[in-house]
Amino acid sequence: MTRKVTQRTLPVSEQAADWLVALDDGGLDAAAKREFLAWLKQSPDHIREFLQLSALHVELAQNPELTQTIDELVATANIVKLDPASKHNIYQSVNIKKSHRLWQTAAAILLSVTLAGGYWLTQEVASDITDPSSYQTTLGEQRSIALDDGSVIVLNTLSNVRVHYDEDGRRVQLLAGEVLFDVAKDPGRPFVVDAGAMRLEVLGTRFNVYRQEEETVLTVVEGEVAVLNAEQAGVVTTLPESPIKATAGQQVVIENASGAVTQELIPEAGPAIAWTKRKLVFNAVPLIEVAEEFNRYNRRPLRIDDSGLANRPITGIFNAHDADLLAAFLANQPGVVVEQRDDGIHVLGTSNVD
Amino acid sequence: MDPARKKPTVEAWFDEYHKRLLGFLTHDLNVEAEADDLAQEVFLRLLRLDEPEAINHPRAFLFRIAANVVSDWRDRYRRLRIDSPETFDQLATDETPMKTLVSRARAKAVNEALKALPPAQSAALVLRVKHGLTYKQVAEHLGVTERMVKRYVVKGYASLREQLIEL
Repeated sequence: MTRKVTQRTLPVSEQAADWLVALDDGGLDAAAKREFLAWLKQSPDHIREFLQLSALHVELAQNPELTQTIDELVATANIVKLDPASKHNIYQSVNIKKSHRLWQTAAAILLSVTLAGGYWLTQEVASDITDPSSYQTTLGEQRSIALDDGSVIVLNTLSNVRVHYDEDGRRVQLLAGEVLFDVAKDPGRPFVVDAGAMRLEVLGTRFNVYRQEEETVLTVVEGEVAVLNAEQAGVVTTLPESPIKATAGQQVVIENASGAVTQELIPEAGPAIAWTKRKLVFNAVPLIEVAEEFNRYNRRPLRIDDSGLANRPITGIFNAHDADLLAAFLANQPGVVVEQRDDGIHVLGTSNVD
Repeated sequence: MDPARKKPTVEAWFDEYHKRLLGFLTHDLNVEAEADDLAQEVFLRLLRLDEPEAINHPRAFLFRIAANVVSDWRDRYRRLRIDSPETFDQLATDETPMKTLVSRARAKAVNEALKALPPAQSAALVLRVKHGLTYKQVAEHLGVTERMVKRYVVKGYASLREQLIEL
């Protein structure tokens, strides 16, 4: 049940759907059953939503209007794959094209223009870059870096980026962590970000990229960002229909392992970049995720010892570094006891304390 | 793995209690206030439980409570209207099992709402729920991980509910 994308609103409809899918997926263990009952007992709204969703499930299962076959459904699913495993091979194939065909025909000269970016990337894959600039942050550290062209990148805690600028392009590799990009316009030099399975290309805009273990999340604050896979990246101008366009207020999530993409409109981009003000904004986010998020910034971790509390939704704005404030807030919640111990801040249910 | 779980039969999911409840939710429930009342009553009954942790099948349990509430309401309704001659006909038809849980108009509305979803979400949802494929099978068909399929299904359910909320 643990979601990795934090700082995101979790409407009741989605919480109920999460439970329905978990129940549908082979039953619950004892701890999860307790959590489910605790969730039901939090509010009549939860009960109503779960009952209505269950009715909807039956309506879908028995719906005579749904006549599409499995093959038809698979064809319409239209899932975009950004396959990180093929990255290296694609770069190699660009190289082969270059050496064997480029000199032979006039048409190929045009191709060389489109592939220039790809060739330059090939050079980097071969670790043959001239003067890459590397920037890192440690636990709890945030850092703003002004780049030559007027762009500013802000690194959140535990992040690692490499920046490479030349006449043809501007390129940033997000190796770990989270970065807010404020990109200065320069039509002659596209700005390219590589973050795991995701490649982004922009001219001038503002967006946040959070590279996590399992998925990479792009949130566009202003303007438009093209999301590409490695194959498309080298020949973007010849494939205008292929990149996903993400505009302000949209979030694109790419699962790193499969390269599968989801794109959705979010109510507001503000919470996703609240970290730049050292604020954490939670709107009905489960306590376990609040703890994960908080622990990105603090040496004294928040530990949720009561599994029954893990899914308790938390709403509020907190200072990322003020552990005491968060502890005080949690201690005020019904059924919650907070204990300061050497290895961190422990959150317990009242039933665990005798 | 229980093989029955892989079958798409709704019957595997819902016993008699659930059918009655779902009939109420999909047919009789026209006013949002009634859903509020039902949820409120179930909520109160859940809170009164001494050891809810001991429950083995929390979902079936929830449905049973809700179905009991609906039955209680029907009983009360019948007692109030017992002097009217039509009530006897109603009493007779009330007890017959619902032939179809889903009305045509509602089915169309659900279908329209499905079309408004991102295609990956509606495909994953229909493959899982209508065709009864397992999450693993859906994942293989779509070429994504099971985790991603579940994300599609959760998102799909949630936006369907939001779209259909006023119906």
